[in-house]
Formats: sequence, structure tokens, C-alpha cells
Amino acid sequence: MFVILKRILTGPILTALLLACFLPQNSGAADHTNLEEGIPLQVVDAYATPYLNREIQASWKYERTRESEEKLVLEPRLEYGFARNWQGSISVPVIAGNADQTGSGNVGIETLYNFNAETLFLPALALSGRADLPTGRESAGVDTTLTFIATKMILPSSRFNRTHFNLSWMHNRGANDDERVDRYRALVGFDIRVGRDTVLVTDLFRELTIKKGERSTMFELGFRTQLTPFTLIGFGASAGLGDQSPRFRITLGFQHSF
Amino acid sequence: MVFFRKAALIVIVLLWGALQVSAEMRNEISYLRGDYNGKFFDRHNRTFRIGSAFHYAHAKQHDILLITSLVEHVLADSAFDAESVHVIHGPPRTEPAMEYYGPYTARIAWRLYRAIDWSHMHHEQTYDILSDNRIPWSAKKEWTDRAVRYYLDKNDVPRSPAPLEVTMRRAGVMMKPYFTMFRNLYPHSNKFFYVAHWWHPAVYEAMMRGGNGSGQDRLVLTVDEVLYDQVLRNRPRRMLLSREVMPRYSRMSPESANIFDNLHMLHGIAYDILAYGEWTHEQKRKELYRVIEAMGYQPGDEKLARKFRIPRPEADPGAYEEWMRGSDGEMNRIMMEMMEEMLPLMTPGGSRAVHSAVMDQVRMKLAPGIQKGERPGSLANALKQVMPEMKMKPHDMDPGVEPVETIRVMLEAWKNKNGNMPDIEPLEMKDEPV
Repeated sequence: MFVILKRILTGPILTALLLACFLPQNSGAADHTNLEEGIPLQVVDAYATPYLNREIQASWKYERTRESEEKLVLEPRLEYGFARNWQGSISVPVIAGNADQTGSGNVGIETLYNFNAETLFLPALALSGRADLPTGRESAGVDTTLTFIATKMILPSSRFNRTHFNLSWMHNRGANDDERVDRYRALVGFDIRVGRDTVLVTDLFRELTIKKGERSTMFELGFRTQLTPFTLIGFGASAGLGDQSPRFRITLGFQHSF
Repeated sequence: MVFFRKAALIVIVLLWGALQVSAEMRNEISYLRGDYNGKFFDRHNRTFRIGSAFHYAHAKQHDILLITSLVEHVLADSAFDAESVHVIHGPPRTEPAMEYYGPYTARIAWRLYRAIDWSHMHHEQTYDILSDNRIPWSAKKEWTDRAVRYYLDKNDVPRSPAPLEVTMRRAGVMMKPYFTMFRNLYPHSNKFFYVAHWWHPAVYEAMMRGGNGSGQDRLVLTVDEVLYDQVLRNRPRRMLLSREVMPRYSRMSPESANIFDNLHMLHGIAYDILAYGEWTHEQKRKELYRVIEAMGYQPGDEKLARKFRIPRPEADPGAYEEWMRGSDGEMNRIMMEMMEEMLPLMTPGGSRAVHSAVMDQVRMKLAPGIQKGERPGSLANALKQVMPEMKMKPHDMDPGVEPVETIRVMLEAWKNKNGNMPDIEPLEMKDEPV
């Protein structure tokens, strides 16, 4: 248990120390209601970061695979609101542990466009597109992901709450013989204000994994807390359902506006 | 697979097209970057958090009014006031966006929240600039003007830098069927926001009097103490204007002073509209958007920014004076003046007795709660009862309709009386207060 905790926490602690030394002191508002992938869960909402906002983001994931291997993923990301209702980001996951490290070091470039503000009857809708460049370990071809996102307040309440639907199509260019060329993920998520500075987030998703013939289902629960007007943290725990899913995953996330 | 991709592309294009035509856009814009960002949070954290508590109340009030039936207004008012007082004694750590505590209203009238959140951003910017003691005193105005420019230019929902005398006339809300509903039916909550609208300018003025050094810390702390010890317990009975409570800051940045007055007035008008029980959500949105537009920035408004008077140039933000507490002050003076301008249109050749009865009702309606002799309902309803022969254009009271003739008459009257008013004197910022 101690070994697992050490592996989970070392990355975040080292990164926090590094950022504390080099982060610019002029900073502004990160937003704990603007759900970002992997901080701390898979679910994203349909809204782009505000125009001209800049953020450093990072997530650390510890995963115990189905085969009881360990996978640690550190993924730093830079995000920018380059136009109204648009955002762009660049990220580089670094994978360690004794599980498969394919894709470690692949540069990911992503953009999201939000079509509209939610109304009483119409959900907020967005599309995001991502390209993973084969710059990393054992990678070939540019893999792409297209995600359709819908966000809607369904529970009639004055307590901030939203339901999200993410549908992703992932294209694996340069797939090996035992890998899928096209795969899908369907996700339903929910977030709700539970405190003055905290939202509780949960999601359930099912996806076709990269290996042919396999599927994965995971349930996730976590929170996002605004620490200062500029910085927030997220913590999430994920449990695999069924014998083709990872056993569990723990994620720590961090966002800082500058 | 190829067919699926083509179909997906067509669906996306059609969706994008349909939404561009019909849907409102989120259009959030980030704050202006500067080395001073966050200095108010860092240096005056307790005060920052008090501001967050006021904005918590502002946010949640929207949903309470939209969702609560009018018959429950007494209980709703007491309950929410108690909650707001509780929160101000244990304020949030960070500043909430309006949607966070008023999500239902966000889905009815998103533009309202954009206008409010954007103006709250300007509060943060201007507090930060004053709080940052690395900015020399002589450079405060330059940095503030930069923030004003960003606020006015970057978004399509800024409040005007013209004084309330101009923007209230442009809004033309006084004879709408909702005007004064909030202050009459939710007097406790209304007065809680009057406390907020004393506190905001008092903090600015404390910083202006304190300079960059420890004097600022001491005076800002004093304002917070006065808030808890006096103002919350014995609340103002009107909306205090920037020029009354922060005369120095108003001279240094009249644009910001007027922007904040226009924001605070927008809060009150929005609450009136949301509280009004006779309109649908769609009608309320129409009227809200009309008012947001009417009171918003128009190019050239900068020339009007200094067209107001300072009634008490030496006002002390650390003293909760008697004149701050009553109903009589700049805000009500402006509205009484507007009523005088409108009356000839509504009662051509009206008698002195009718005139007196009308102005009495106006005076009572502008005070929180219901006074003895006050007619029930909105101001327009009250006036119809004392002035049955009152003439109004048939649709002027409808949602989303601008009372064009009334606005024209009022703006012309203001221009004739005050168009050549000398600008208020700028404040010399060369020497820092000690």
C-alpha cells in the first residue's frame, strides 16, 4: 500500500515543487466547473475555456491493469482560449511502470468548439478533435479522436448540477494486426456543487479498447476544488467493471491559470 | 465507415448552421492579465472573501426570485436574508460566477450573467491595481484606465461609463409594470444588497485614502469592521452611489465609478423583472436584454463620464454617517427628477394635488418595504391609482418594448439641464496619501 501511495504521490509532489519555483505570480481564474479530461475523470463538459484564458494543467494517474501490472501516467497540458467559444491544447503523456508504455511521449494536439449556451430545453453542444502525433514510444501514424459533447442541467434545482454525454470515435492509424483501427467510447457523466468551492463529479463509460475483441467499462467518482482564484485540484478514483477492464485507477489533477 | 464519416460531417455542418442562427453563444472572455492580478486576494484576503459572499448572495437571488411564487415572498425574503447574513460571517474562499449559485436563471437569460460577471471582473481588476503596492501611486490611474479600456472593448456586454442620470433615462424602466417590485416585496434582501453597495465603494475609498502602505491595510480593515458592527445591523434604505461613498476614487476613475453604479442598478432592475409574476420566462428575458442593451456602453459615452456632482467630497469610508442610512440621496434624487420629466407626458395639464400625490407615491415606492399610505404593486400600479387619468402609450409597458417618447423627453431634459455641466475635477495622483 505504501509503495502504491509513494508511486501515486511522488509525481504530483515533484511537479508541484517545480511549478511553485517557476510559475508566474500573475495569474487568474481557473474554473472548477469547466471539466477537463483527466482532471480528474474522463468526462468533459461542452464549454470551452474563456477566450484568452491560459492554463497549465497536469494529471497523474496510477492504474492497476487487468493483468495486475502498474501503469503510471503523467500528462502535462497547456490550454489556451484562442477564440471565442474555442479552446486549443497541447499535451504529452509520459507513461511509466511495468505495463505497456506504447504511446508514451506522443504529442497530443486538441481543439474544442462550443456551439451554444445551454437553455432550459437545449443542451450545450460541443465537438472536440484531437490528433496524437507518433513522436513517442512504439507509435506509428497520426491517431485521431473526434468527440461529440452535450451538457444539460436535468435535475430541476437551484443547486448547480449538470449531466454530460460524451461520444468519441478514435481512429488508430498504423494499427498493428491485433489492434482495432476504429473504436468508440460512450460516456455519461454528472457533476454537482457540493460546497462553496467544490464540485462532485462522476461518470460511467464503456469503450472498445485498442486490442481487438476487448471492451472496458469503468465507473469513476471524484471532486474538483478551487483552492484560489487561480488554482484548482482534482482527485478521482475509477473502478473497472467486468474482467476486460482495468482493475482500478487513481487520478490527481491540477490546473493553474496564468 | 466512409458513409458514416460523410453522414457525421453533414450532421455537424447542419447542426452548426442551425445553432448559429438560433442559439445564444456562451462567449466567455478571460480577465486582463497584469502583474497585479490576485493582489486583492493576497493582500486583503478577508475583504476579498466578503466580496465573494456578496456575490454569492447576488447569484442566488436570481433563482430565488424566478422560482419562488409571489405568495411566498415574505418567507422567502426572510429566509434568504438570514442565509446571506450567515454566509457573510463565514464567507467563501473564492469568487463565484453567477451561474454557480443561480443555475436556473443562467438557462433563461445567460446574457444577464455575462454582463454581471464581466463587471465583477472589473471590480477585481480595479481592487487588484489599488492593492498592489508595487504600482507607484502616480501610476494607479494609468493602470486603471487600461483596465477600463479592456472592459469596454473586449466584450459586448460592458456597462456604460456614463453616469446613472444618463443610463437610467436610456433604460426607461420606471413606468414598467415590474419597477420597485423587489424592494417592496423583498425588503430584507433588498437592504442586504444596499449594504453591499455601500461596502464596495467604501473599500475603494479606504484604499484611496490609505495609499500604498500600511495605511491601506488599516483603513480597509476598518471598513470591514464598520460593515459587521454597524452597517449590517442598521442597513441603508437606498442604493448609495459611487460619488457619495467614494468621491476620491470617482474623481480618479469616473468611468469605473459609473460602471459600478450601472452594474448595481442592473442588479436591482433584474431582480424587479425576475420577481414580477405576470410575465413568462421568455418575456422576462426580452425585457432583461432590452435593459442590458439600453444601459450598456455606447461609443462616445466616455465624454459623459465626468458629468456628475460630488455631494460630499470629504466622505469618510470608515464612518457610517447618518446621511448614508436614509432614503434620500443621489439615487432617489435622480429618479424623482425623471418622474418630474415624465409627468407632463402622462398628465398634460395635471393639477398640483395630483402632482403632489404622485411624487408622494414615488418617494414611498423607492423605499424598501411598504410604507403607510403606499399603494400596492409596482410604481406604475400605484400611480394609476392616484392618477386614474394617467396616459401611457399602449405598448410601452410591454416586455422588450422601449418607451421611445418617454426616453427622448427625459434625455433631452437632462441634456438641457446638465449637458454643459462642468466635468468633475480629476484627482491629482502625484502625491501618495500618508
